Amino acid sequence: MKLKLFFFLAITFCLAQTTFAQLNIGNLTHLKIYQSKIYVAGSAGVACLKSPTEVEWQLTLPNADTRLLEVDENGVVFVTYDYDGIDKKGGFWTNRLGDVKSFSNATIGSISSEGKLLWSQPGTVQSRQSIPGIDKNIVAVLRSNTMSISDRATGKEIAVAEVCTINGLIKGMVSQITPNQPLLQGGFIYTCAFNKLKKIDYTGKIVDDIQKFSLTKQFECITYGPVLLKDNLVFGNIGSGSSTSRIFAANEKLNDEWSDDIDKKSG
Amino acid sequence: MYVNGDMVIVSTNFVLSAYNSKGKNLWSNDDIQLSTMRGLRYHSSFGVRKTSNNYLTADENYVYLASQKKVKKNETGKDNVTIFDIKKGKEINTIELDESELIIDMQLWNDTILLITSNGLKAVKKPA
Repeated sequence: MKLKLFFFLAITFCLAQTTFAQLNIGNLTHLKIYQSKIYVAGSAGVACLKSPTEVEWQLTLPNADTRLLEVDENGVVFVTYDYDGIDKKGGFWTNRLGDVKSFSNATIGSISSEGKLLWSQPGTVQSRQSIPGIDKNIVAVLRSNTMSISDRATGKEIAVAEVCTINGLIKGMVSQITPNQPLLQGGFIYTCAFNKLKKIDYTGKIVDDIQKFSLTKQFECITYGPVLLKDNLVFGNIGSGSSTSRIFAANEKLNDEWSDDIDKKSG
Repeated sequence: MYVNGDMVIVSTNFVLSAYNSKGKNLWSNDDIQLSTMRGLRYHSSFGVRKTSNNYLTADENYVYLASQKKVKKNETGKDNVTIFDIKKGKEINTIELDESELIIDMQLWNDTILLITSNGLKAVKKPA
């Protein structure tokens, strides 16, 4: 009898360990941890979990191929977009670089810490969107060639800053990029858009930008960053042509602090 | 790229490196592999990340990277979480996923590696 009870308890314990929370938010697309809670975005909503087995709240939202989120003490901000297809430009010279990807269903939304939808705004540009950069005042989202700055409380778009030009071949290349999450620091937005590091104020004015530390230290295409390391903005690029993959660090004035070649062989 | 205190850990397609805040390279491991979704994919010399999601994280002891084991040319790889010693960048362990299961996102939660995979949410105990 005792042996049976032991096995029953053991099996119950094992099942409890492997039973995940029942999420009704579609295909899962993005994960964040904030203050020991788990936030999950899905194609049909957003959920907050106390643990992998315990749901605090979940919110059903209109379907989207991709939903990305960021979390702070004021709640969750999310973006969505659908991938519609690719306009193949072809040609020997462009070698797929000119192919233009198109997107739809671009939205930005805000959810309270308790799981209530506060607002959701359709995007003014249909594009792939970055993970939102957020603080208590604004939401900054990098799109293919523009930065959208919205009021955190209402979702109203305050400004749109053009962060790179899109002509000819560049239009295709920029449409293919996965936009980097903007960094909000000291009342400015720092963003790595294509081949430049930019500092933008909350009105959308580009305060400063750079695309190299020196003639031999071009940023090329920045594929990650900036992230904050102590007081420096750190970002990385791809190796292209004769240059290798590099890591760069700039200060708040966008001056060169340090850089290094990471990968001598490839991206 | 992942900031861990005074250190930034960065992965390219085939190199994992750590730097301190002054830019000193602490270590490099040039024997890492791509997972299905991690890293850049190239058109000509132009590379783009496949997704915005996270495939690299760390705690005070280890670095966790979405990766695969090396396979022969005609074999298909399988995603795993490869674990590296944070002091030297040396590979110490791998956590294999199921056949055809892709890592979509990865974070640490308490003593757990939390994954979104093509099969849903998955939790794996971190090494002690």
